[in-house]
Amino acid sequence: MRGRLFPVLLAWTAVAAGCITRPPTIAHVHIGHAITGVHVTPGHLGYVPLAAQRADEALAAARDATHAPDLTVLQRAVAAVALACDNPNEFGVKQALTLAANHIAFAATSADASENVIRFAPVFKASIAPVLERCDYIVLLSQDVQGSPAFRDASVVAQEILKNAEDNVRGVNPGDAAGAVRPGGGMTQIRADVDAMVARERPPYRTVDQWYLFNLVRLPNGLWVFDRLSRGGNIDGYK
Amino acid sequence: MATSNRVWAVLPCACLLVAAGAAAEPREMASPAECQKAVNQPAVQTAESALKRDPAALEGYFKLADAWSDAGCFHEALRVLQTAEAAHFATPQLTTRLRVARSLVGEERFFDNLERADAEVKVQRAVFRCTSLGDLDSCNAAVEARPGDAALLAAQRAALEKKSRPDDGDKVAQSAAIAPAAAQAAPRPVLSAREVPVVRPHYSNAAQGDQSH
Repeated sequence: MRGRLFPVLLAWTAVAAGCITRPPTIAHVHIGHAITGVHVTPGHLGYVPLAAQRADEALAAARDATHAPDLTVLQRAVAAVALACDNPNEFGVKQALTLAANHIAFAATSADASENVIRFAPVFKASIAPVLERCDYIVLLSQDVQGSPAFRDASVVAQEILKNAEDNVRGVNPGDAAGAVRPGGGMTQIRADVDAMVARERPPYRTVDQWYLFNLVRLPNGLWVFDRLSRGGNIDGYK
Repeated sequence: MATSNRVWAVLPCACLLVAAGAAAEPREMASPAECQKAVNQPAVQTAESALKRDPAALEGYFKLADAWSDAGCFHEALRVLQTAEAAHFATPQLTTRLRVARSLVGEERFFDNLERADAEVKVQRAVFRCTSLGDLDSCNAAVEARPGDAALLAAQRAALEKKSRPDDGDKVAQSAAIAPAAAQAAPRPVLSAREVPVVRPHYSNAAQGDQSH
């Protein structure tokens, strides 16, 4: 009995190990960089959740600005809003979203990309444009606040910054009576779009293991492979 | 700003296209005018001649596409690859290159839109500062960008009056340069600050120079 069970157990273990160690598709690893994690970001967050986090930080700082008791406090809060929106060193909303779009484009151009991913890449780019535009607007307005000698005027501008920071999180006209979100909105809409794309994936998208996320490299011949020998890669955002 | 963003975000994709078969360094996207001139570049001409000599060789299409992409002309590179596809070449390498080239052309459209948005953001700021703060310079910029906008014209007149108002007891002569009625009649009335004696700088900032049109 024990002699018969052993080969069965061995076969089951081999099948299970095969399931566990089967690498994800290259397209799914790129999507993983957008939605799960990438080694260059603070906390190794994916670019989309990082953009959402920065948008929340911008909104919180914008609220602080509108409650500031004096010009100095207001200017400091508005500077924090601008940095959360646009920060090349620490990934502001703008940088995180642009890199998310890049990685979704990488996914769409991978040899194993599904039609679903290929169709989604341009849709994603279109959906982030209003957020990027609001970020630029906020940065311009924040420059006005930093140069303002008058608390009253700076407060008026801070209200406009708050409105745009809110739009970047919730979207313009966030919901009708049915609770639908209008397209071209904020991070809420963008994350919902990405989640819907991931849910449509066949074969289904599974959260990509960190090793695969951090060890995808591009070879000189243009192929994407997993870097099992830690040779290092040569694309921004990759090893 | 928009151009540097474009280089920063597009180069990884350009690297992909180049890595798909070419050896040269990736280039920034060129303007349509630059691409018209690129026809005369030796690399493009050489690759074009080679392809004419041997149109049955897929490698010739790749070399010409590479020459165009090295010149930053991704639309032209895509057209060459599509020609190869139409000529019934069907290889995985061509499929990959076509996919990357289509993506790059999409990137180009994306960043063109962002550049347009960059200009629109400046107008948006001018409109906001004009209508909410009564900043005359911003009103001038906003009216120049959106001539015929009645609300902006009214805000511009109000900003002019506000700037000319002797509110601190200072007796400042009213500007006779542009009366409200004249401003209404003019198609694109840009009121120069030099025409209006400054009572008090209403709202100065370092970024105002950015909004010139």
